Amino acid sequence: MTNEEKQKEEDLFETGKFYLLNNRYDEALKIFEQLLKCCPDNPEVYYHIGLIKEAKNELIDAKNMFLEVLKRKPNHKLAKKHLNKLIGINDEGQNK
Amino acid sequence: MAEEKYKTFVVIGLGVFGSHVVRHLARYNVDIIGIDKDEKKVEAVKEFLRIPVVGDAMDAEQLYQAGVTPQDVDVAIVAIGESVEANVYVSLLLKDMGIKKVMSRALNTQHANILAKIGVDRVVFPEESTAENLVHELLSPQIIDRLELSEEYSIAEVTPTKEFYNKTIQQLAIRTKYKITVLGIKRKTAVIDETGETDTKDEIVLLPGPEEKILQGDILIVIGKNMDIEKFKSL
Repeated sequence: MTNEEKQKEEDLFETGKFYLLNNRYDEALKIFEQLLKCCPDNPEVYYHIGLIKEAKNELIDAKNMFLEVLKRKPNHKLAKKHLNKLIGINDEGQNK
Repeated sequence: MAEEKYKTFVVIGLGVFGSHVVRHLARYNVDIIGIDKDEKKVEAVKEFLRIPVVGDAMDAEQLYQAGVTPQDVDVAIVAIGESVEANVYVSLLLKDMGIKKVMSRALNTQHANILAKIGVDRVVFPEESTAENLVHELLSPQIIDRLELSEEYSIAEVTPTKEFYNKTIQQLAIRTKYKITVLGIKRKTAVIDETGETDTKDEIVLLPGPEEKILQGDILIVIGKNMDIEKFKSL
């Protein structure tokens, strides 16, 4: 990856986060889906799409995205926290 | 607001929890396939089942022959309680087969974590989640939770239709049009946590004013007559 490409990726990430933090989910999703095409192995892209889907109340898609994160980075604490919450268990592994 | 309703269920393991799930599901107009190795257990709930099967759910061929395919089954409930191994194996088999929604009974914390890792859609601890609540959750996905105040009135959490997004409560005239009152709005907001990571936090807007806008992803906490809540959810 060239420096230019890396910079573009970072810019896209920041833009996507900006939209997400301002509750502009559809715009954020478009950015992260663009990132997914150029970096399909980056767990952070899946994580952020998971957050967007969760915030939009699209819980099955959110769950699948957090599973994708954990496939790529099994110790991703936040993805694990969100996944567990979605399927009905809390951080200690018990029912919500 | 209307989502696809689940119509065909397979309940695997017809012990105490599984048979309760079957009895509660049977109150609604849905098809149920029930599977257990023990003929007596199948016999006990046979009258509620469209397809009763005495067999081993760990055998993919037997599942297929019983009609358990992604085309024919909407939800699989793995209620096997005697063996963690069998429960996990069957849950994984159903996920691999492509069943739309797989819910599995967890016997302990480690079991729950394994079920999470293999991708089940919902982990259920029967000690804490009754068969009745589970069935209610499956058959009224728009109503996330409900507290019955009397036979006539409830407080319920409802997902609003997207036509409501970015409109105020006043513009929507919810009380006048739908005869229910919004007590609160549950909302997820993205935040940067103390370590600099993006996360979400849950917010509740209590007793929202008339100028409060309903946003995408919001869950409304409403109070009203059961029939009015039902009408509202089917918009």
